[in-house]
Amino acid sequence: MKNFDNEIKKSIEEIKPDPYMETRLSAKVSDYKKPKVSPLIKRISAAALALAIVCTGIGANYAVKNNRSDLDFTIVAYAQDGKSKHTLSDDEVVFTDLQLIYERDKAKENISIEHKIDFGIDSENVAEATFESENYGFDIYDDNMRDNQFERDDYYIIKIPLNDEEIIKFSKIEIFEEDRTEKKFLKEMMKNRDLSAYFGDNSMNVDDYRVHRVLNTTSDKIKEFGLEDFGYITSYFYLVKKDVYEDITRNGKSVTAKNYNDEDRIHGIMFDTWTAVWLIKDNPDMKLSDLPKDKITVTVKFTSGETVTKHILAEFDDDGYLHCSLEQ
Amino acid sequence: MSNDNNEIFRQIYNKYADTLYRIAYLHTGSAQESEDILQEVFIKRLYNAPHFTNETHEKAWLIRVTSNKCKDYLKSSRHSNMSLNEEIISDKSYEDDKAIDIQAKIISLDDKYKTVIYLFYYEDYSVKQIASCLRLTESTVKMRLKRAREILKKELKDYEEF
Repeated sequence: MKNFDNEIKKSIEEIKPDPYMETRLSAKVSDYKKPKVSPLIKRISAAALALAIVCTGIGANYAVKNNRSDLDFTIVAYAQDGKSKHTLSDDEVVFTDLQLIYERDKAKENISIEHKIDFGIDSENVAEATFESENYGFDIYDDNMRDNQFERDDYYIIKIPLNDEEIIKFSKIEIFEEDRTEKKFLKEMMKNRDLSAYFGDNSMNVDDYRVHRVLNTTSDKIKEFGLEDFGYITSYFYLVKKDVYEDITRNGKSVTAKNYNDEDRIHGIMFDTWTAVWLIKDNPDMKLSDLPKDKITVTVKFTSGETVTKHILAEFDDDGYLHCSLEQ
Repeated sequence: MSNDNNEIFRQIYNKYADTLYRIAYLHTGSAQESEDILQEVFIKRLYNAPHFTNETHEKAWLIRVTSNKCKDYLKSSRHSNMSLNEEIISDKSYEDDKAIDIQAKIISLDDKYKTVIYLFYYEDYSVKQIASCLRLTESTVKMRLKRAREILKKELKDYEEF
């Protein structure tokens, strides 16, 4: 299709709600009643809250043991391709979305993790969630933090345009390389031309920054450079001061994610099982079920300041599938 | 619903209903289910929304909530017993129409591609804007666009003459 973009747009244009949907929706939304708490329950809750405040330090444990609904949360795990989602409970769940795969005799060269799973928590009034693994780890690209940082005017302190030669060169290497490529590429650019004007009074040490790329999807240069298949060019590098802004990507045995946008969930905590891969590489005869079991501690801090903790027990079976359940 | 909420409903409906409906429809392929999703989105907007700093913020939030509701809907057991293709066909009476055919191909894409495709092709969002709106990395958006485009071009090769 020569007019591929237009045809897609035209087909979407055809999707329209019928003219009466506004009336129907208005009626349905009008009928919605927020759940109300009776005055008696309110009084009991107020008393419980007062008790919790007096018994500081005991309140959280009390909440866990008694499963108080206003301080509870649900742990979910889902495949990154969005095909399955599990709510963790005392019952064991087998994650067929995550599987360690290898041929025993080729384990040193060839072992892979099929798909990935993300953990998350669902709850109202959640301020932050911390996931801590005893034997493995977590990886997070914190979109919420990025959006929060992004709203500050000084986020991108330096903006460096790429020239035509650089655009073509970068387009051919950028997609499948690691993010570090931008920094490496910028260092090469600095060897070939004077970029000091863009830095102004700021440090010219690229390692002081995180380098983001800015894409342009409308430039005539896309066609001119024969980059139609990409559909965009990288026109700028934007630099973010590392010492001012926390990195939105984090990993390690423990990661914490905050709720910046009053959402009733914190998702996107990727379970990082590469430790298992290294263990199998070093011990090719090891049974997958002999890989270290894990105890994951999930601590949720609520907007009230109180915290609640739950534990996930995780282990691999002989087929490399991950089994998880909540510790009772 | 209070008079204030009536007015807010009217305003957000006029501003965003088409956008949100199209996103929902591309996920579900069903007019009825899309309307159900919009009902939930509007209720959340009216009764449980954060403070919005501007219209862009509000629109991004609504798109994100709609997209999440669609994912929840598609994962729900209510939907798991249905065939998406059957739903699409049952909703349509013009299967031979090219636009409808293209719609069906978009609807049959993996969920993760749909909102990205909609924002890029219909709303003319840049990759950066999509990344910001959906809280994805720009690399992820680019890869999704690239893969979705490849799949659609392959699926729609019968329309080469266009």
